[in-house]
Amino acid sequence: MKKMIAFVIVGMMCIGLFAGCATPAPSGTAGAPTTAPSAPTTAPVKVTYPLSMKDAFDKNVDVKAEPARVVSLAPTTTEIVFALGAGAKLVGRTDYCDFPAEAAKVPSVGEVVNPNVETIVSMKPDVIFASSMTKADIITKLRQLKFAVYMEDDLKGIAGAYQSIADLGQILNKQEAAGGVLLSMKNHLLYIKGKMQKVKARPSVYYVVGFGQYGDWTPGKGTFIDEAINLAGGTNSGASAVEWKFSLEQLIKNKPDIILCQKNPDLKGDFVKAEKYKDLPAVKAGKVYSIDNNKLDRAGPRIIDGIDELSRLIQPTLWN
Amino acid sequence: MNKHKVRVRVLFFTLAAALLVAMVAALLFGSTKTGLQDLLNLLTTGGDSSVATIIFDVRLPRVLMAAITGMGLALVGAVYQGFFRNPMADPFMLGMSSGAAFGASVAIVLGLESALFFGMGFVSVFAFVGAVLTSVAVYLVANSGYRRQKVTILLAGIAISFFLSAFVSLFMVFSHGGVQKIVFWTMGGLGGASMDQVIVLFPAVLIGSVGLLFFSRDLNVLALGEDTARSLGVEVERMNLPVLALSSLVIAVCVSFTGVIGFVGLIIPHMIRLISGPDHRTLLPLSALGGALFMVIADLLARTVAAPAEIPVGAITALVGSPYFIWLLLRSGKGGVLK
Amino acid sequence: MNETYLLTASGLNFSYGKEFGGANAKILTDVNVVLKKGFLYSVIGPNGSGKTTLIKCLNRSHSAQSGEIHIFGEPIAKMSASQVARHIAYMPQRTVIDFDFSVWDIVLMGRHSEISRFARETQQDIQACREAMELCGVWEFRERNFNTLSGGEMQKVILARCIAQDTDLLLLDEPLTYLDIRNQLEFLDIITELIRVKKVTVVAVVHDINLAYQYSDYVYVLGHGEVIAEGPPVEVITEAALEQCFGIRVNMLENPLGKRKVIVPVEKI
Repeated sequence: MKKMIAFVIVGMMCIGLFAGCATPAPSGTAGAPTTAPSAPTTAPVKVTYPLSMKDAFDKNVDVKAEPARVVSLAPTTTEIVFALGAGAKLVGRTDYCDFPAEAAKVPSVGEVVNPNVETIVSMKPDVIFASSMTKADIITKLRQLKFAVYMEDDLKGIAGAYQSIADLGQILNKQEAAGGVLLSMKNHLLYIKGKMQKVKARPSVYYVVGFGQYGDWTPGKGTFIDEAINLAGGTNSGASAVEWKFSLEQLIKNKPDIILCQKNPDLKGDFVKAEKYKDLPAVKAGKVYSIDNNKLDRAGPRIIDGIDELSRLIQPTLWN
Repeated sequence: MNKHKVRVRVLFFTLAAALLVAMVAALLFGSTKTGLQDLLNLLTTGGDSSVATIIFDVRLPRVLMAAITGMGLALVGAVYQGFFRNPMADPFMLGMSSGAAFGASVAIVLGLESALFFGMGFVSVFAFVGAVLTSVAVYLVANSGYRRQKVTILLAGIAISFFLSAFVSLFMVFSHGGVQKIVFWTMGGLGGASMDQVIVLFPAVLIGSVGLLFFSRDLNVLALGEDTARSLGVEVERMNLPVLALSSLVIAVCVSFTGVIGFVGLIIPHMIRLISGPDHRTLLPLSALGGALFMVIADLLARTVAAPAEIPVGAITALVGSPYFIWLLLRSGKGGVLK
Repeated sequence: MNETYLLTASGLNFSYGKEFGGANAKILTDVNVVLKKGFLYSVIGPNGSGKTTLIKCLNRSHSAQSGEIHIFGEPIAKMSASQVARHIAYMPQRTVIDFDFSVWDIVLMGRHSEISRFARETQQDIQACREAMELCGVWEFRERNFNTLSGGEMQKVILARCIAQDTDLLLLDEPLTYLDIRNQLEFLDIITELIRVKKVTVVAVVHDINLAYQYSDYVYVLGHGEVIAEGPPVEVITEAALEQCFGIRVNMLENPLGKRKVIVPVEKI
C-alpha cells in the first residue's frame, strides 16, 4: 500500500471540504462501474443523535446516541471500523474478520452466516454492522430485539465501499476520518487511472476463484472483479462466465496471458500442478500469480489497494 | 398386563420430568455465562437488562421452538411408521423437505430474505407453501394412481422429492450468492427464533397433533394389514386424507421455521416403542414428549458445545441418530424390529 | 330379498381394472352365492379360479363391478366399514405384522368395531376375547409376542380374533394351507364346534379336497371365475366333477373310519 506524499498533502487540504456524507454515485446493477464519485460540495455537518438513516438495503437504522460499543458481523465492516479509527469501540467480530491484526483481540460472535445471537446480545452493542451474507432470520431477530443494525452490500463494488465508509463514519461520529479515508481512496484510484492511460497492450487475465473437479469458477462480466481487471489495465478472459460458472474448455480455448489465483484459500500451488491446467500457456510461461482476494471481495477501505495490486501484476512495466 | 401399564406410566412421568428439567437447564445455559445466579440477581435486585434479554428473548423462544418442533416431528414420525407399516418411515419421506427447501431457495434467490410478511420472514412463508404444495401434489398423484396401495403415495413422494431437489440444485448453480444461504437454511437452525414465531407454531402443531391422536387405534389395527384392517371396521381409504393433511400441517410449519432437522421423527418412536410397546395410544403421546426432550437437548448442545459457533441442530440429531440407526439395523439380524 | 338367508350375492362380476395397474383381466363372471346360518361352506377350485377374489368381494375388500351383496337383506354396498365388520369376520391367507404386538393385543383388535374411538375395552370385550382364545387353545400365549409363534399357533390366534369379533359370518381364505396335519384337524374341530355352539356360518377356501369333502356342509366349485358346481359335497365332489374341474383322475375309496369316502388322486389327464 504505497501512497505518494503529494496525495497526502492534497488529501489534508481537501478534508475540510469533504465532510458530510459523500453521495455515492448511482450504482445501478450490482458491480456496475462507478468511476465518478460526486464531488464534495457541502460544508461538514456535525453529527447529531439520535440519528436515523437507511442502510444499503433501504432499512431504517436508528442510533440513539454516539455508539460506544460496536459489533461487526462482517469482515468488511470490521475493516471499516478500524480504518475510521474506531477500533477501540469494537466489542465483537466474526471468526472471519482477519484484518487488521488487532481484530484478533476482539472476542468472536461466531460465523458470518450464522452468528450467535446470545453472544451478540451479551456484548451489549449500541450498533451492529452486518453484510447480506448473514442469515436473514438472524438479522430479523436482532432488529426485533431493538438493536440498530446497518447492513452493507458487498456486491456494489467501489460505490458500495464509499457508501459504507461514509455511512459508518456518520454513525460512529467519525466523519472526518471517513472523509480522509474516502479522499485517499479516490486519489489512489485517480492515480492508478492516470498510470493506466499509458497502457499500450491489454493482456487477457483469468481470475481463478475455483477450479478442478468442482468446476471452474471465475467472475464474469458485470461483477466487480471484472470491472477491477479492466480498471487495472487488463481484459477479463473469463468475461463470458454466467453466475461465476466457466468451463475448462473455454479456459483452454481463450489462452489467457496472465492467470491470477485467489490467496484465500491459496489456489496457486495446486493450480500449476493440476492435470490439464499445467499445460496452459500462462502456466508454462510462469505468468501465474497469487492475489489477495480479500481486498477485492470486501467492499471496504482496501478495495482500491486491491485494484492497485491487480494493476501491478497485470501492467508491471507501468509501475517501474 | 399390569406390569406393562406400570412401565408406561413410569416412562410418561420420567419423560415429562426430564423435559421440564431440560427446558429449565436450556434457559440457564448458553453461549455466554449468563446463568442461575444472574437470573436470581435479576429477580431480586433488578440487575443487568441484557440478562433478561438473553434468558427471555433469546433463549426462551429457542427452547419453546425446539420443544414444539421436536414434539411435532416425533409424533408425525410415529404416525407415519404405523400408517405406512414401515419402521423406517420418517416425516420427510414424502418429499416435504425438498418442497420446503424449494420454497426457501426461491425466496433466497429472489432476494426476498429480508422482507417480512406479517412479521414472518419470506423464507419461512415460502418454505411453508413449498412443503404444503408438495404434499398436495403427492396426494393428488397418488390418488389418481394405484389407489389402494400406500406404495403409490411413497413412490409419488420420492419422485416429487427428486424433482424439487433438482430445482434446488439448479438454483444453487445459477445464483452464486445464494448457495451458502440455501445450504445453511437446509441444515436447520433455531438461531432466529422469536415469540412471534412460537405463537404461530404452537397452535398449528397442537391442532395437528391432537387430530392425529384420534387415529391411534386405527393405526394399531392397520398393523395387521389393510385388508384385515378394513374387515375390522377401519375406513382405510378415508383415513388417507385426514392423516396426511394433519401430518403435513405439522411438518410444514416446523420445517418452515427450523429448516430440515432429521432423525428426530425416525428414532424417537423406535426408542419409545422399545419400552412402551407398539400401541399407538401410548406411543404417540410418549413420542411427542420424547421428541420435545431430544430437541431441547440437541439445540442446547448446538449453541453451547462450540460457542460462539453454532452447530446446525440437524448435525447434532444426525450425529446421535446415525449410530443408533446402524445399531437398529444390526439388531434386526437377530429378529429385532425389522422384518 | 329373502331374510332367512345370512348372505346373498348375485351377479358378481369382477375384473382388475386400471386402478389396479393391470389389464382388464376378468376374474369373476356372474357368480351367485347364498349362505345360510350355521353351516360350513367350502370353496374349492384350481389356482387362479377366483376363490380369493370371491372372498374379498364378499368381504367388500374389492368392489365388484356389478352385482349385489346383501346381509340379512341389507345391501352391504352402503354400509360403513364398521357395520360390515359387525357382520363379517375375515382371515387372510397370511398375516405379517411389522411391530411387536402381543397375542392379546391382536385378539382384542377383533373388537375394534365394537369399541368407540376413545373408549377402553369393556368387560364384555375382555370376556369375548378370553372365550375365543380358550376355544382356540391360545389363551396361554396371551402375553407372547405374536411374531415369536409358530405358523400354526399364529393361525389359531387369528382365528381367535375372528371369533372374538362376534360376527355371524367368518370368511377364511386358505386357513389350512400353512398348517401341519395335526393343526389342520385341530383347526377344523374348532370351527365345527364354533358352528355347533354359536350357529355362525363359516366360508373357507380350501385346497385339500379331502378336508373339504369330509367337513363341509356345502361346497362351491369355482373354475375360471365361474361357479361350475355347488351343493352338498357328496353330490358335488364326484370323480367326473374333479376330472372336469381339476383335470385329474381320482379314485374315491370307502373310508373304514369316517362316514365319507377318501379321495385319492391317480394321475393328471
